[in-house]
Amino acid sequence: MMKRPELNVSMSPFVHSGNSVQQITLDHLIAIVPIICAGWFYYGWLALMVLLLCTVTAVLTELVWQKVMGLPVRVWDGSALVTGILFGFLLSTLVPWWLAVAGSFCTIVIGKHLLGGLGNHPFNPAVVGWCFVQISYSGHMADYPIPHPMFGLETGAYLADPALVAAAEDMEMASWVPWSDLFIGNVPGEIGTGCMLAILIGGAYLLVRGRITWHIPISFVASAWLFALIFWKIDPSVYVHPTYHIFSGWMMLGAFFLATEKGTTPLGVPGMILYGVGCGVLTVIIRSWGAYVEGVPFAILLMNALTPLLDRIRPRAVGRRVEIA
Amino acid sequence: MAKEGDLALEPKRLPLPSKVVLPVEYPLGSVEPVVQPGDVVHEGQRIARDENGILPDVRASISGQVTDIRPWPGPFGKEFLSVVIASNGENGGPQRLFEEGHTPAGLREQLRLISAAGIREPDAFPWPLSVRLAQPALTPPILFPFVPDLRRPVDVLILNGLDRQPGVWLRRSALFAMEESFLASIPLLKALTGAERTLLAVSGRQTLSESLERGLRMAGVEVVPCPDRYPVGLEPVLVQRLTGREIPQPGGDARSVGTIMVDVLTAARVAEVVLKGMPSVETLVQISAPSQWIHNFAIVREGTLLEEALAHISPEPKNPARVIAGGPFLGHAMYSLQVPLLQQTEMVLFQGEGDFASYKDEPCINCGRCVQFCPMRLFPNELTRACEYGRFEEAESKDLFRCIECGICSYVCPVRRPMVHLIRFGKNELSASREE
Repeated sequence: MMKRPELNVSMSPFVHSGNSVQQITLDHLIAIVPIICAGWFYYGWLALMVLLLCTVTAVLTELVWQKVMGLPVRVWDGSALVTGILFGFLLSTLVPWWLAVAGSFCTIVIGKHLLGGLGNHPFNPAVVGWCFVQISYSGHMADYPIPHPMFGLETGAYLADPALVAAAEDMEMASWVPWSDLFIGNVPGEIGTGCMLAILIGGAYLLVRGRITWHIPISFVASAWLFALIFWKIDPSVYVHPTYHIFSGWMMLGAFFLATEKGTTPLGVPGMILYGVGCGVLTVIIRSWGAYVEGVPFAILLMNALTPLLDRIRPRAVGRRVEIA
Repeated sequence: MAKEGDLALEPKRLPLPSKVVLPVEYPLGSVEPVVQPGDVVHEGQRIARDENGILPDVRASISGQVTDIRPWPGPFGKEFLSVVIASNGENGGPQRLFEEGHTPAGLREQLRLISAAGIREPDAFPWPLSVRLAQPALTPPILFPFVPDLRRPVDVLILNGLDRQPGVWLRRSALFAMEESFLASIPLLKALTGAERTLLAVSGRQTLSESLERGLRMAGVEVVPCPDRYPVGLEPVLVQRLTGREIPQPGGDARSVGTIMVDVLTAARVAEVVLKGMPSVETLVQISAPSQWIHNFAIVREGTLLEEALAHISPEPKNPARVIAGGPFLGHAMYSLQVPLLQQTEMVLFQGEGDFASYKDEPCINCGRCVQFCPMRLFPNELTRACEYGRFEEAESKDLFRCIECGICSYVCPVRRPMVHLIRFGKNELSASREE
């Protein structure tokens, strides 16, 4: 006679893929390692210091916030770590230390927790934090350091005379900078936005791991390129080449890492593509005719705000009976 | 889950059980027992029938004495009225449904046999096999005027060689083990349904034997390799994949879009019944404990208790903490090992303490994983949030009832939300409020 076993009873399904927030953030961490390396390569140890400061502030802020507010402490899922690093990517190495701390604090408290917590905040927290420091301390945010590659590469020849660079208009800069330098990030800029190569490696990793889908990044970049192409065709002396648009500034980091933030994007395929197209077109509009040099953060925030509307565009559910009158 | 290599297992025929428990109540409806406690029955004898002639008969799977007719824990998670038969040790083969050499030629007669043989299917179809298989001209007169689905001619017959859930290898092994019966069933099924096209869905990783391929070619069957990815093997998903036709949900049947799906095991059973008059007294079940690398295919008498079947299986799964009849995604957790193994059971899965999947009430993080995987193109994240906060009407307006409860959303959820649980909760609450 067999011993009567004590059996657990529950509802199906009885298995789980093992997917977890920790794994998602781990994949994001792996994906941003090349970008961190690129930041260090061009801007030296100072870049790592800024990133470290942002990260530590972000994680501590989240820990303290959750303890003080009596929320379940979920800081160990690592999402604050990733958000902190992403925020650090948006700063240049020339910012004062307190600016990094204040921005990182805002990123977590306002951008993430006050607006709903992980995955429920309407706007990308890192971009919200950036907006706060950009608007409050625009003077500190206006300077970009000249890249000094650690080895193997030389600072771009077009940067030989800093005075000339400072006086240059957009169009002139665009004609000076070789696309190869743009692609590898050998240009003045923020810590994590410059090196397209590193960002594309990280983005490809996220795509392969299925952490993001291709819809948003591809439609973002492709629509920006096509939209810029129209105006470049109309008047190449006023508008920059579309390839310059997609290889410069925040374009790639925005497309692969910022615009795809959980909770801020539509989830249906048509919505995602419209969202990406909106981001791309708005970026080019703001860059070409707006007051700000960089259009990506504002484009992303605007499209974040449109997400609930875009999510109403959804495919018809399978098996929905067509009513016959 | 174990690997493809384990497929090489030979089904093992277990010894005659000391008793069997045969439910006469099923999720589809109940049938009337025609025996009393104390009656002596012979293997293959009819012990319960449907007064309306719609549901299949129940046949005794062993010879012996009826000891009891009482509620018994069934493999669907609750107690069902069942006939208990104690064996008298006789093992002379079942009573045939017709004498040898008197194979019925008439289609109506064949359908009657299929119904009489007690064939039951694992998929949750709204109609029993004999009703589903009948082309409009053969539909039972008491159903014909009321069910528009059954008045629609069938043009595509889909033979499903895909196992419905990961970790189940029943149908793909049946393609080897029951090749002959399966091939013999194809012309029968074609004649009964009147289908013009016949498709066989098989796993893309499976190589068919040469003789099977030849047989399929001769029968004019198109073989369609499908990905080994849950939930491709489920009826609504497979029908749409193969024909592009969408089965209306909820509760729709492939018949409403002129399609019919029969799994390969059931098809083989049809051939046994129609050509040889053999009632379905045996069933093939997979008994697996993946964490202990135990996988068995056992041929048992229908209604054999799980506990008794386990005694003949070596190595026996140790320290089960959860026993699931019906597979990892669609099954039911059992509270007792005294459950009968039925044709609908397909597999029994043993989980230890270590391989429990737990679900908990965490807030959704809108990662969109569930939306990406939902075969019905739903937004499970929104549905479950609405159900969680009691906004059932909102959930219904977002196609709550289109959900087929395949469970893939729960499976992929990174915060382990009980997605399917919440969806079922919403459906139940809505149905309950409608009934009031």
